[in-house]
Amino acid sequence: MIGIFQSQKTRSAGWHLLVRRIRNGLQISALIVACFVAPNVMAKSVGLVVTGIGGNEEYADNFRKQGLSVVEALRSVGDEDQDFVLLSDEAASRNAVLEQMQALSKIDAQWFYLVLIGHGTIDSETWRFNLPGDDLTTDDLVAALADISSQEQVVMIGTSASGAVLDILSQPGRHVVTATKSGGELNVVRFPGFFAEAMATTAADTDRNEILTLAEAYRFSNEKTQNYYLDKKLLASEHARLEGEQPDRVALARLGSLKTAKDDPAVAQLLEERLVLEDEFLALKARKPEMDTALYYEELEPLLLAIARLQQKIDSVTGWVDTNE
Amino acid sequence: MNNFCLSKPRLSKLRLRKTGLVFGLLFCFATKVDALTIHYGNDRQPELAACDEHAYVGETDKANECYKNLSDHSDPLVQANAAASLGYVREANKRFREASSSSTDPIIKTHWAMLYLKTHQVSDAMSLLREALLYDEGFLPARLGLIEATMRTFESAAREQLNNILAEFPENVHALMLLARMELELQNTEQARSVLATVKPLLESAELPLLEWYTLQAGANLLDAEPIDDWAEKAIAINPSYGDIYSDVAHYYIITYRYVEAVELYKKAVELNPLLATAQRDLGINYLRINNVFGARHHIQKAFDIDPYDAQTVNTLRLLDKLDGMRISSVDVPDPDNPEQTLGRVIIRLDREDADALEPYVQNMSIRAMQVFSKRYDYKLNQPMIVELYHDHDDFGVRTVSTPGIGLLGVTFGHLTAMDSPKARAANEFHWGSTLWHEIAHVITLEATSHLLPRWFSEGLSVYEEWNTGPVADRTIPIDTLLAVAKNQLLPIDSLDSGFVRPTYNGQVQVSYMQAGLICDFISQRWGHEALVVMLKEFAQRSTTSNALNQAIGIDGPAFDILFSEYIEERYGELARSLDDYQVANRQMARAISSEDWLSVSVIARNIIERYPENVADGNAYEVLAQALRERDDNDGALDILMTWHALGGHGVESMQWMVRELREQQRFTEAAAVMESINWVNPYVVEEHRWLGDYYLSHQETTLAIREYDALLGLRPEDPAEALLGKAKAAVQLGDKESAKRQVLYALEHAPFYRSAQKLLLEFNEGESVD
Repeated sequence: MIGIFQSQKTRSAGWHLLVRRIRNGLQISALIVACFVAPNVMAKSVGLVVTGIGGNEEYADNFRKQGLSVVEALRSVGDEDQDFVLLSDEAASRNAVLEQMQALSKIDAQWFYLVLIGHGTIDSETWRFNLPGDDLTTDDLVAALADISSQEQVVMIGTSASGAVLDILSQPGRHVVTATKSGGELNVVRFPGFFAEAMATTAADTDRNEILTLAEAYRFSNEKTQNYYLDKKLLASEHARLEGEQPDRVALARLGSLKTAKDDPAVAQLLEERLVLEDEFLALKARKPEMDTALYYEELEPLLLAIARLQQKIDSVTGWVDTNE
Repeated sequence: MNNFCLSKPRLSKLRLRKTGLVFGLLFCFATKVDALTIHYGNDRQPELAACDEHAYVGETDKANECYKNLSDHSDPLVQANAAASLGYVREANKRFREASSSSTDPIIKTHWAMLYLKTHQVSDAMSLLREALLYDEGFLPARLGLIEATMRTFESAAREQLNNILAEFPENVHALMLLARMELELQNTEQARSVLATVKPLLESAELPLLEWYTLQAGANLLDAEPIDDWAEKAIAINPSYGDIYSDVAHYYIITYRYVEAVELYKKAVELNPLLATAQRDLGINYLRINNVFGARHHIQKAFDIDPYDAQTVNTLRLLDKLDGMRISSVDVPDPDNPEQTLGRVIIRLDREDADALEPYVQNMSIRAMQVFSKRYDYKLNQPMIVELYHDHDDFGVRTVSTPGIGLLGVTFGHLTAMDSPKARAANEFHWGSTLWHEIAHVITLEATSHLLPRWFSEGLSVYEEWNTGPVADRTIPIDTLLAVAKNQLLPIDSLDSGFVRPTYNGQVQVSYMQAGLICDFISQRWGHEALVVMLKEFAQRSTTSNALNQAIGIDGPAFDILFSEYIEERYGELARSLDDYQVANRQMARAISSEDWLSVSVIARNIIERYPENVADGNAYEVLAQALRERDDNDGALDILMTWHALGGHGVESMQWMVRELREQQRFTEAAAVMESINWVNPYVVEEHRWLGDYYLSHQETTLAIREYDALLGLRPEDPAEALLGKAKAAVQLGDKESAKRQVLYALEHAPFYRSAQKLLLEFNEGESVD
């Protein structure tokens, strides 16, 4: 288990990934800062979002809306909208899910995303994702994911009892998020609702670099979930978990000007420059504990000024008008 | 061989941990000294009574030797009582258990119960006494023991039971001494002295010591503001180590909230007898009440070393550890009429987890309260005021009465006030702002009178200030109080204190709070606020209630009662008489809600509001009516109703949050800010409220309030602190403090380097670069 609150000693690789994707689309090769193990510049992303059976209209409607938010956000990191599929309601049968995963496994994609939202149950044999008709079981999920060839995988199981599959799904190259810590947390979960909220707004993008990472989304959703129970003075019946290394390198969505200027070469050039400054910023921040405070801020200020000036240029090119800050 | 010494109490781990010392032989060589028990009944065995004689005159070594010699007495009850007299609690308990296992003699369980009572386990003592009475329902020592135990639980039943016994046995010394004690507890000194006069010859003829008799006489003197020295000297002449003469009498200072004076008596008690554990404990507890934490720790530790079984001592020691970890801050309160001068200092002690979020609000209200009350009561505090908020209700309980599980929200000891923090209670149910306001009013009124004002007036003024100057105007009079009005159960003003101290029916304390508040409100409305100030000053001169009334408004208590009764009749008479109808209407409304008949709900809710418009508390008809209107898509109507409800002091958080959303949608930002401000005094832990309010105040140049909001927001340790830091930067700009502004903007960008608004401000600071 990794702590997601570890200090960000390296810049977000998701950031690299997206910049590269812009450049790649324009057939521009780039020298990427060597110290990072970069995802394949030819990276492609695909994904499947499934919302389960609601049991009543309120839950069904919530699951549907959450699924829609998540898939729309994921599409912002992909090349084509059709690379990300949403299955809801009657369309989300066990067979349909397995078939869709089979189909996605045939696409040569660096990144694969799977998001399940709904009710989960557990019995003496298996965890089950409640779908119309037959449920999807742990074995189904393990087998289907085994066929996915993508080197980088993100699996978010936003259901009750989802903690039951955390260990079995964890493996190198895969990030797994579950809404509960174990199969024993059986009540309806709030976490996926907040996760969808994180992906639909800029609220979770705490460094405001307009790339929402898995770490940011998880942190946001987890905090909101725990606050929900605190506010209501209830014993928290869900404790989300995240497995996988460097979730701050996993991009979940582009926001703001990055979303708007998805394929603009001028923006890509400026973003490359921003990468270098961001690297310097992170390196300085990492040195903060060993530095004299006054000296640290003396060095920080010109760096932040340079980032600010560059951001103005980027905004000027993208024509981005800030409405959210 | 001394059996008791072999089976001495083992020292607890806690004690060893606390002291780091080993006093393993203490109980063999230096027996602890409990508060001296005088055995009035003839159920004490002669062998023990012979030893008691030594104890009564302070011959402790002789007494102990005598008790120890009874360790292998043929009567197990004698053995048990001897162990108890020596303070060997576990050994005594074991021997009482053994003795009772083969006997149905009620005396065993009665004496065993006395051991429990002595070790502060009242409910266990009562159980044993009831068991004794099952063996013999008329067994007098058990009946008296039960009364003694009941007196410790503040139940009014004790007096009735005692009167029954005295009707049967009018010359029973033990019963008369208990009656004298009870009268003093109610501060009926005249009646107490009369009982004491009756009992003295009986004590003398029975050759019983007058030690407790002197103590009660001294207690009566203390309550009548007369010197106690003569009585103390007489008691000490009998028993030179009788520290109880001071520590027992100090109790009468405690019940009249005079902790500083009580501390002086406890000091004398421990000086006279350093091994008196209860005096060491009470000295520590009362040092804590006057904020002498160092002194408190010293004496509580001593009490623990002597008696590690005392729950109050152990609880207080643990609390002291927690106090060490709390965060302390202070602020000087400027005089609003002369900003160059200060009115005083406020010291704030908060749990660390709570401190950042609450401190800005506690500071803000403490300053405002001190300014308002100092002016309204023409009094300036001569010491810093200490405000403590506990996020664990049990810690607050220990702070208050050295034991968890109390039903209070706040308590004031003088300059020091302590209360639950909003985190100590379920979210949204506790208006912590009005509790803080109430308690700070106590600080001023207690100190202005050197703690000499009666309980009813202190509570009355605090309730009156909550209603008239506090953060919420809620004047809901609970149904229980209206029922008391209907049943003519309100007390005459001259005896209103008994409603707080010795309630005679369920809920009377709450009724007394309301009655006291209404009395102050009535006086202020009829004769002006100044009349209350005159009364306060009269009480400071030891006036009685009637005298204070006479000075302030020219009438005495009975005459006032007539006017007050007319006032209550006018305001609440009709409602009180029709309470049954009112409650029927509420039940009808509940049924209409459950069947979702919103039209009927609206009609009934309006009728309920018309009957009792001031009721804005939980379950009020305003929020129900608003819900019914919303169900019928009349959001504007619902908002109007809730605006009225809020203006009357309604403070249900969910309704207020709905109001804020509506008001913001309608661009009624000033009203939204007012409602949002109210939310924070109930639930200060909502990030969005602080963020929005901070920005609102900033845009209206209310910089201090904006900073309060941003500080509170940062105190919640949000995942994203950048906005609050930028807000503080902008506030610093408004204050003309560019240096601080720049620092804050750097902090903001350190968290969020791509935060455009912060970037713009940084660029502006940097040689005035254009940011457009």
